[in-house]
Amino acid sequence: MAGRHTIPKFDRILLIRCGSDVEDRLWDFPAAPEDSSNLVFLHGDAVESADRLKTLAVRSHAASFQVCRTSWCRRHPGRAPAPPFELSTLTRLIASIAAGAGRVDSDGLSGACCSQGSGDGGYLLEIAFAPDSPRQAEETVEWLLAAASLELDVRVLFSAGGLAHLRGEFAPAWRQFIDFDLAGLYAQTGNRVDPLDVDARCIEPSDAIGLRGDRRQVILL
Amino acid sequence: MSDPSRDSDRPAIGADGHLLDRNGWTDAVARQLAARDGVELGEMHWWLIRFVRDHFDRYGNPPLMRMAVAALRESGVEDASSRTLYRLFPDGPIRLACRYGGLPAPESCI
Repeated sequence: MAGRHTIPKFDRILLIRCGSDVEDRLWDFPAAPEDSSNLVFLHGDAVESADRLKTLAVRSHAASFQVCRTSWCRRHPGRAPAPPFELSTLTRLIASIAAGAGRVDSDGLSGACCSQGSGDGGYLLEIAFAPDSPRQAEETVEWLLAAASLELDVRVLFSAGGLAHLRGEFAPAWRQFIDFDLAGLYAQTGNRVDPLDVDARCIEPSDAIGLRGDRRQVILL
Repeated sequence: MSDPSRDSDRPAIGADGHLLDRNGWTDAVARQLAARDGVELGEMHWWLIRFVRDHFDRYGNPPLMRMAVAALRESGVEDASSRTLYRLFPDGPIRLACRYGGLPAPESCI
C-alpha cells in the first residue's frame, strides 16, 4: 500500500550498545543460513565501531547491518556510515522485534542477554548500569519512547547501578511514562533505603525473576 | 556584516528553522515563525505549542504524539486523535510545535 513501510522480520537480532569488544561479539555472531535472515544493530556508543567493523561485517554474512540514525548523527553529523552498515531507527528495530524475531541477543552496558521470544507477555527492558553522561541516559530513555510510540506492552526493570536513572537529573524523563501511564517501571531495590525520584514499583529480586520469566522478550540495555 | 536571520524584532534562527536561543521565545516570535511557513496560529495551535513547551520543561524531551492526543482528550476534546493534530500541522505536529514554540529541533528519530 502506498505510504506504508514494510517492517522486516529477522530470525535473529544482535543488538550491540556497548562500545568495547564489539569485534568479538560480531565475530561470534553466526552466519545466517540461506533460508533465514539476521540483523546486527548498533546503538549508542557502539555506533562508533561501525567504520572499523565494515570488513568484518562483510565477512560475517549477516543479512543486515544497521546503526541507529539518532545515535550516529549525534556523533557524526553530515556523514553516513560505511557500507554494509546503513542508517535505521530504534523504532524500526523494535517494530522488527515485535514482528516476531526468533531470538534477540542484547549486548548491553551491563552485560549480555539472550532472549528466545518465549512467554506470553510483552517486552522487558532491563537497565542495570548507571549512566555516565546525560547522552547515555537520554539514549536509554529513547528505547522506551520508541516502544511507547508503537503502543507495545513494555515494562522496564531497573536494578543495581541502573537505579541511578531514577534519581536526580535523570529522573524527570522517566516520570513521563508513569504520568501518561505508558509503561510499568520496576525497581529492584531489595534492602536499599535510598529514595527514588520516580514512582517506580519497588520489587524484590525474586519478583524480578518472575517478571523476566513472564515477558516475551527481555532486552538488556 | 549583519546577520540576515536576525533583526531587532526577531531572535536568531538556525539553519533548521529553530531558535538558537529558546530564551528569546515570545508569543510574537511564535507568530513570526509560523508566518514564515504561511501558518496563522489559532486557539488549537496555541494549545499544542504550550503543551509541547510544558512537556519539554517538565521531562526534557518533546512529547510523543500519543501523549499529546491523550492530553487533548483530557482537556475536553473527546474525539481527539493524531489526525486532529495533523490537521493543525500537516508537516508534523510535534516537530512544528517545537519549532514555533522556540524549542530545539527534536534530535530523536522517534
